[in-house]
Amino acid sequence: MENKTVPATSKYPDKPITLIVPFSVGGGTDLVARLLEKRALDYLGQPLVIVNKPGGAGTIGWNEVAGSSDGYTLGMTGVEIILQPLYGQTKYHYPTALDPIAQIAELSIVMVVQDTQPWKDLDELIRYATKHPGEIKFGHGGMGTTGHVAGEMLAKSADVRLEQVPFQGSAEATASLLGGHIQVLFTNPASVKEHVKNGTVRILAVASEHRLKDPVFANAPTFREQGFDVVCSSWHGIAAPKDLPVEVKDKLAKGFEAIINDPEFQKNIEALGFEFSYLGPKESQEKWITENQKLSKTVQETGILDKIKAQKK
Amino acid sequence: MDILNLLLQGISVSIIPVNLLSCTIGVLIGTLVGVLPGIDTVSAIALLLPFSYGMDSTAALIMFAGIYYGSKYGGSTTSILINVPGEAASVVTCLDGYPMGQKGRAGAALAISAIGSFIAGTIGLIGLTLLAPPLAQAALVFGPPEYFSLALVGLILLSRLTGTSALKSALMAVIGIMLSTIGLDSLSGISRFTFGIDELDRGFDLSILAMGLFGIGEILTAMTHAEAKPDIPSVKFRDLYPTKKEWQRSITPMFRGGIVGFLVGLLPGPAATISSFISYGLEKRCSKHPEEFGHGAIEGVAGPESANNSAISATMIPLLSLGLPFCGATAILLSGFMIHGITPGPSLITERPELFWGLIASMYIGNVLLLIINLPLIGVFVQLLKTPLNILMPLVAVVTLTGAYSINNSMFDLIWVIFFGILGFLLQRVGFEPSPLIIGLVLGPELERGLTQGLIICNGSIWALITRPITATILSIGAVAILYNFVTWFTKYDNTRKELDI
Amino acid sequence: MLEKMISLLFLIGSLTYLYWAQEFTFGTLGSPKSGFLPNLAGILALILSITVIFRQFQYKKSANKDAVDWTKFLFILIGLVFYLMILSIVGYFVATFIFLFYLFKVADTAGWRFPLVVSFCSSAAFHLLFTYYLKVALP
Repeated sequence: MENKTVPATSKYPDKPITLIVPFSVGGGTDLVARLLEKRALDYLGQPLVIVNKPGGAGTIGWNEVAGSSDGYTLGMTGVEIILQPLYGQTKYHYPTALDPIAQIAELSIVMVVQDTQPWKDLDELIRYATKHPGEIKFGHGGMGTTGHVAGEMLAKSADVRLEQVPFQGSAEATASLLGGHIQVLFTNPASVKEHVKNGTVRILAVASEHRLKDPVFANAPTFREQGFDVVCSSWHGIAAPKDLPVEVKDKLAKGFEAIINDPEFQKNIEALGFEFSYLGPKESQEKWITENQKLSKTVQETGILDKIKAQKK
Repeated sequence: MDILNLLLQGISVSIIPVNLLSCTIGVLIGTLVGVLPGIDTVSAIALLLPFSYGMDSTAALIMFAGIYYGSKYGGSTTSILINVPGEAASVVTCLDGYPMGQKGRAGAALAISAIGSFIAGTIGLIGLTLLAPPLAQAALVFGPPEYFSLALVGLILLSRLTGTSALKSALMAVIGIMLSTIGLDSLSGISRFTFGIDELDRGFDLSILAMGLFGIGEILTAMTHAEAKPDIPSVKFRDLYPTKKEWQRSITPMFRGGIVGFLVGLLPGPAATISSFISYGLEKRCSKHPEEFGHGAIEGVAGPESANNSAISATMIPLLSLGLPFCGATAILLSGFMIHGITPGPSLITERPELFWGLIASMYIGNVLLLIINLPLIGVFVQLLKTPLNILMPLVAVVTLTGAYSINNSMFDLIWVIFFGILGFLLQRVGFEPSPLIIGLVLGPELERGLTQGLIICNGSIWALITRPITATILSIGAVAILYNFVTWFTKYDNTRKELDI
Repeated sequence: MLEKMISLLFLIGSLTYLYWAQEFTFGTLGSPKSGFLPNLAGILALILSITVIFRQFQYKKSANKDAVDWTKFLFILIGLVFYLMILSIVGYFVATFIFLFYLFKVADTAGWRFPLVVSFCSSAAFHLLFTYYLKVALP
């Protein structure tokens, strides 16, 4: 991986391409990567070799991608490439050190409450929270994750005090909601889908631009529709290190575009509970830039950055 | 009666050839995964996921589940034979399983662990069959404050599993907690004690620590013996299996372990590992000869190995009836379900009864298969011990290091394995037991999370937190146990203990 | 002697840990922050390791474990370090082969041909098993 020579572009790729998954085996990102791996040989001409480099909210893996330049090391991306550099010193500034190849799917955030709670809609909950500041506690999958960001965005936008409870992953947070230990949960749609279908959990709002396509969530209004400026989502994508030869990048972009738009692949992505949403290199790059501007403002204004900074002297 | 009918229906699903075959393949892979240190269930299932698309969904899920519970059968093998835990849940089996092997009772230990796994696995399955939905609901009553109290009491009661000195054990447990704080912290969003080193952000993996402290540590001990080590007594075929006395001593721990494991399995966290430690502690307390623990007490193998298997069955309960994966292995099982278009949750039993009951029935069958596979293997494994140490130990070193590398594909981890290996070797020489360190590492994060989350939930009042009914009960049980320990310590052993307690 | 050195190591370790733990905010009992557990654990470890050292001086009883061949210990350590260093340079198969052979010789295996054959066969077998069947991306 230390090989710094630029590959002979005409023959590229002439050996297997390493795809770094900066999260653990079996996580959402890993599963998407393994779906890509299945069809890689047909569309890229070479197999993908998946290497998991978990830890540090993705940074360990991305450092390795950013530090390589031979075109044979790619990485899976998520919104953390933007968030992590905002929270603290990272080795690289990923939005500029990496070059997006494609976006595969979008991961929205939904806001849910237990069905036994009295609040029928977002409005009622906000009214309650205004009268009882700090009494409503919302859970999310970890400090600084999209769930947390969405929750704090709501608190700011509605000008109420909501206490945040960080959990390790969405399963523990969902269990706490179902047990009545927290009142509100911000999480990904897939982890509460069955409970929404079953009526044990009520969905109050969706933190994306449009309503979700999934029939179970299709009736749930977005925050925007209800007058709150809360839009926050993550994604699964692929990125390469900066400054690859144009031909190499084009080949990768074309190859991955073909894999991702394969109907079978699309079906599998949706089965995993993700919103399929392909973006090419250019659109992805634009998205990174706008998201970066938006999120750096958001984490400051909502006080998330202060909360994280307050943990350290 | 209704359930019996459904289960029979399930059995009819699970014995059609393709399902039976997937079950067999699953448990075989599981056994292999369990035996190989470092290769864990999650990566094995993740590897097979892409290949399962073409399979029938029921068959695929039966296979994945087989890998999952099968791995806990094999995990004890290397613990007993070479002191390298094959799975995190078998760390505690090293404590007594390995000494048993050194005394020539490896066969008995392996057999007891296989049979215990079978009995407890079946206990867990019966629980899963009869009580899945209500139990899943009941477990939800446990929130962060309750986890906090469980972790606190667990740390205090379990930190002293073996060894003579309470002081040293406590120190090791605290050091385990200290190690657990290293890395990126999901509660606060910051990295602690990483000094800007990327790889430290990941924190310490339990398996890395266990493989170092126990595995490499033992290799160093065995290879540096100045005098030739006495050969492990050769085993006659008749002695391969447990004696009547060993049987009698194991049967109660198996059932106790089965129940403990089942209860722990319902809660979030690395249930199989935690339950095995709890079971060990429980057996030591219940035993008539606690002094044998750590020197090859059969109960110390029977209890924990049973507990981790029934914990596995229990972890399927929140997964199947609530769709909540509480540990890495069930998370990947969930992905397996989703890839095949099935979302586990409250409606799974009613919507896909043939799948639900077929899966459960296959687990009964898989348990029997595992017993059939494992018992004859014991003879083969025990033969391994006849390999001279100077050949065996280098090979074990390579397997351990390769396994350790494969966990995170990290050279950095290898450095740690070796570091902890040296530490384990030195600690053992001076009478520090490494097992409390593992407990600190496992329970430390649970303690911190439970406290932080619990206090937010209780509006920042520690009093409100500790007076919640379940929390208070757990804490008072802990307090009584500590008090009891103090009383016996003062009355019975006052003088003799003091000298030992260096 | 070794016993006291290890305890001293723990003492120094806890002190260092406690020193670095000051970087993090302690918070309050009602709202613990990231420094809460590290500070408590560090202080507890400090107290415990001081007590352990104190008692070791009080009771002069040395654990009589069987003797260790420290030369061998050193040689194994050198082997392990060397293995790590060459692993990413020469690749898994060659490195494992050399390492195994070295360890066999350190462990006093007689002859040359036998250990050579065993190390060759086993490193080949491990390589196959881990790379092809378990798909581990070995160096």
